[in-house]
Amino acid sequence: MKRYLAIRVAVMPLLLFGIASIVFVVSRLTPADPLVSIVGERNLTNPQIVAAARARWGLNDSVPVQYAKYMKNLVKGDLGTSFTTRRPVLHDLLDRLPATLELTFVALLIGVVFGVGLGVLAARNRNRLIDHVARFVALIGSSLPAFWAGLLVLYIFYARLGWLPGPGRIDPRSVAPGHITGFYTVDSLLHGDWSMFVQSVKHLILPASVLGWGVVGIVTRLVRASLLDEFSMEYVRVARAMGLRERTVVNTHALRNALLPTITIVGFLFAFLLTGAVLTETVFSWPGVGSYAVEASRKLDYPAIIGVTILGGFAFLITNLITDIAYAVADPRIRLS
Amino acid sequence: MTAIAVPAARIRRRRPAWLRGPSLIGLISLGVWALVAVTIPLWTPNDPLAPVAGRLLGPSVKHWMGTDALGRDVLTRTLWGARISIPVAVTVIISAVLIGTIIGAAAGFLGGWVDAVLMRLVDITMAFPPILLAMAITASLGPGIRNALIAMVLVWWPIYARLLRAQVVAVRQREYIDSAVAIGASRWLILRRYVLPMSYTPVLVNATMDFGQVVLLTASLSFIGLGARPPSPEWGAMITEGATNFYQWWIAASPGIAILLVVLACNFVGDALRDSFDVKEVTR
Amino acid sequence: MSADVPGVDSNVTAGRRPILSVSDLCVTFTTSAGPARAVRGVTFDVYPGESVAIVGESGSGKSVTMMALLGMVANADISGSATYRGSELIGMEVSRLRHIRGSKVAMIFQDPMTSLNPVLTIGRQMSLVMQAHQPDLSKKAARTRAIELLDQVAISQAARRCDSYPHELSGGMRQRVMIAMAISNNPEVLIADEPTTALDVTVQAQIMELLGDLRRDHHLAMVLITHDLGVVAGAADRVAVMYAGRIVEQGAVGPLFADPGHPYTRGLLDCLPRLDERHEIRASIAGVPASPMSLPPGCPFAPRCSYVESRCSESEPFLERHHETLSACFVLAGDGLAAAAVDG
Repeated sequence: MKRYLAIRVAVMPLLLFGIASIVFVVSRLTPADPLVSIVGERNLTNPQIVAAARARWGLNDSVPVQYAKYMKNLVKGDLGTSFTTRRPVLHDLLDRLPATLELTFVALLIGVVFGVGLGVLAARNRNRLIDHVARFVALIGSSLPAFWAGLLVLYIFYARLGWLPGPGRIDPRSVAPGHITGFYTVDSLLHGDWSMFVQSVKHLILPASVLGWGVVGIVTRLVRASLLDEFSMEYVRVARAMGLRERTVVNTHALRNALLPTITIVGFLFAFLLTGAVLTETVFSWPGVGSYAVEASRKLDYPAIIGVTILGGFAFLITNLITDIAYAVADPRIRLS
Repeated sequence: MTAIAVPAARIRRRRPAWLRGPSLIGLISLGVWALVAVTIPLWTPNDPLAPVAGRLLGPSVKHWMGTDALGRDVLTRTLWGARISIPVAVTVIISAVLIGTIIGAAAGFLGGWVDAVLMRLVDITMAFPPILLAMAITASLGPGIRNALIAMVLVWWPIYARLLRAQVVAVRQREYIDSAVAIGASRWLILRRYVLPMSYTPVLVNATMDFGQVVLLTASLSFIGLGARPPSPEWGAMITEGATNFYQWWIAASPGIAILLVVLACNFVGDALRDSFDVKEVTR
Repeated sequence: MSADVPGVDSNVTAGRRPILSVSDLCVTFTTSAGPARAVRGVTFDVYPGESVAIVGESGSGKSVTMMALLGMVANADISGSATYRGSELIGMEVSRLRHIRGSKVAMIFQDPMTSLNPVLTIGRQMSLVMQAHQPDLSKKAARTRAIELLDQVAISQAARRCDSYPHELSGGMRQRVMIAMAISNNPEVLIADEPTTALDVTVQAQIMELLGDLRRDHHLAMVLITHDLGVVAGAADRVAVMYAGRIVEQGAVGPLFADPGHPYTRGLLDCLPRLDERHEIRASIAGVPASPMSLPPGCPFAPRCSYVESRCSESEPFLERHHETLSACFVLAGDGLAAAAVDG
C-alpha cells in the first residue's frame, strides 16, 4: 500500500510535465496572432510596437527555444505575465483560487449530501415512485446547462422573489473580510464578523447549489447501485436477523460499504465541479479561476489560458491522488494490507 | 443459504429496457429533434435571423416564446438551433470514435513503446478538465463553431482510444485468436472479425451519453463566446443574449429547455442501454 | 400436534409449553415464472432447552421456514402460524418483530466469511447487536461485554480481537464471533443455519462442541438446520426431515436413525460414511430434488423413490406413525407391515 502510494507520488512530476507539454503544444496551434490582444488591432501595422512586444513576450525565438524557456520558467513557478492584467499569472491565479475553492467545496458538499440522501432514498424504495422521482431529480441535475440554470435561479430567487442576493461573493457595497484564508466564510468567522459570514453564505447558496446539482445525479446513481448491492449481502441479512433497527442496518452497516465506491469518484466529482465552475462563476460574476479563464479565453490571453489549464490538470492529479489515499484509509482491507 | 434464492430468470420476453419507459421517450425526443434539424427550412414559422416583430416582447399567441432584443422570434431561432447543435455533436462523436478506434487499435495491436506512448498521451489528455482543454484549444485556434468542434474532437477521442485498446487486449488474450493468428489471419481481419463486433455496444453506450455532453459543451463554449457567434441561433449563444436581457426571461428559456431536453433524452437512452448491456462507462 | 409427538422427551416437556410453535406454515414465492411453493404446511414445536434438527437437501425449504418466522422473507405469501411464547410472529410488524430477532430468537448463518461486515471491527458489530436491544448500554459497557463473550466462545486475546476486522480472522474464529454475537442478548432460542458447512472438518467439530456447551450452560433451545445427518447425531434431541417444503419424517434421534420410516431418510442415512465400511464411495440419492416451481402430483419424492408404488403418484401422504417416528409415506408408514416386509 505504502509502496503503491509512493509510486503514485513519484510519477506526479512526469504527468505534470506531460500536461505542461500538451498545453504548450495547444498554445502553439494558433494561426491567430496573439499580438492582436497585446498591442491591439490598430497598432499591428506599427512595426516598432510589434517588435517591442515580440521581444518582450519571447515570440521571436524558435518554437523549441520557446518550449525550453517555458519549461524552465514553469519549474521556477513562473507561469508568465498576463497580457491583460499585466501581472504574473501565478499571482492572478493564487488571488482567485480561494473563491473557486470555496465555491467548489460547498458545491461538493451539497452534491454529495443530496446525492447520498437521494441515493439512499431511492435504494430503500427500489422501483417505487420515490425511487423514480429521486432518480429523475438527480438526472435533471446532470442534464441542465449550469449557465442556464444559474440564470434561472437568479431570476427566480433574486429578481422575482428577492430571497437571496444577486451575483458576486458579497454585496457590491460591502468590503471583503481581511484576507486570512481567502475563504470569505472562514475569514469572516475568524474576524468575528457574523453579519459578513451570513452575507457570504447567502451569496454562496445559489451558485453552489447550481454547481452541486450537477453532480447529484452521479452520486445518486452510484450510491443507489452500491447500496442495492450491499442490501443483497449476507451481513445485511445477518444484521437484520440480529434485530438491528433498519436505520442502523442502512446507515451503519450498508452505507459504510456503499460509500467506498463513492469515495473513488470524489476526484472525478471535483473535476466535474471545476468544469462547471467555469460557467457558474461566469453567470454569478464569481471572481474565481473559472471566470478568469473565460475572460482570458475571450481576450486570447495565452499565458493566462495556459496557466489556468495547467492548474486544472494539476488539480486533477492532486484530487486523484487524494482519492486513492482516502479510499485506502476508508477500507480496512486495503489500509491494513 | 441458497434455499431462498428464487429463480430470477424471466420466462416472458419483454421489450429491452432501452425500448421502454423513459428511454423510449428519450429516443422519440431525439428523433423529433433530428427531424426538426433536417426539415426546419421547409416549414419555419419565421425567419430566424430577421426581426419579425417588436423588440423584447413577452410570450404571446403569435410568438409563443416571445421576441429577442432585435425583434426575432425566439421559438423559431431555438428550432433552427437544432441545425447547429445536432450536426456538431454528431460530427464530434463520429470523429472521436474514428480517431479513437484507429489509435486504440494501433496501441493494442502494436504494443510495446507505441502502446506506451499512445496510452500516456491518452492518460494525460484525460487528466484535463474537458472544458478547460476545449477552451484552451478553441482559444488557440481562434473562436468559432468550427474550431470549437475540432477542440471537442481533440478532447473526446481518448475515451474511445482507451475503450478500443481494452477490447483489443481482451480479444488478443483469447485462445481462439491465437489460433486465428496461427492460421495466418491478419491484424486487420482480427480487428474486423473479433474486435469491432465486440466494441459496438460499449462504444454505442458511451457515444449516447457523450452526445448529450457534447451538446452541452458546444452550448457552453458558445456561451463563453468561443463557439458560435451572434447572430447564429446557436443555443448557448442565445442564452448569452438572454443573460444580457436578464429580466426578459423568455429569451433564455427556450434554448435552455432545448438543451435540457436533448441532454436528458441522451441520459435516459444511455442509462437504459448501459443497464441492458451491462457496460462499464469510461468516465472522464 | 404436541403431546403425542413421538420422541418428545416427557422429562423435558413435562408441564411446559413450547417456546416456539410452528403450525401449518406455508411460504409461496411469487416469481415471474409463477409461484414457487417453498414451504407447504410445516408444523413443529421447540421446547425450552431442547435441540431440534431440521434436515434436508438445499431447496427443501428448511432455511425458508426459519427465515419466514423471523419475518425475513420478502416477495412471498406466508400463511399459517408461528408463535414465540404464545405471540404470533407471522404478520407481526417489523418494529415489534425486531425486539424478538437477535434478542429472544437469535440466528447464526452458514458462511462466516460473508456474515460479518468487512469494514467494521468485531467489537463494533457486537456492540451494535447489543445496543439494538439494550439501548441504555454504554459504549464502554458494550465493549467489556463483547470481550467477555469472545472469551466465552474461546477466542484467545479477546481484547485485541475486539478491534480486529473480520478479514484478519480465520473462518472458524469468525463463526465463533457470530456465535458470540448471537448469544450476546441472552436469547432463549438459537437458530443455527448450516453453522459448519463452510468450515474445515476439524473446525466443524469444535464449533459443534461449542454450540453444545453453550446450549447446556445457557439452557438454550436450538434449531439446527443442516443437510448433513452426520452433524445431527450428537447435537440434536429430535429431528425433522424436510423434503420439497414438507416435513416428511420426524422423531427422536435414536429411533429415527435406527429405524427410519421414510425412504428419503433412509437415503440420507445411506449417504453417511460408516465406520464399519471400508469402501470410499458413498451412496447418494439418485435424481434431482423436486422443484418448488413444479411439484409432481402425489408424493414429491416418488420420482426418486425406490419403494415407489402406483398410489404414490395419486395423492400426497401425510405424517403417520411409523414405529417410533412420524413419517409421510404410504409404503413404509401407516400400516407398518409393508415397512417390515421391505426391511427384511
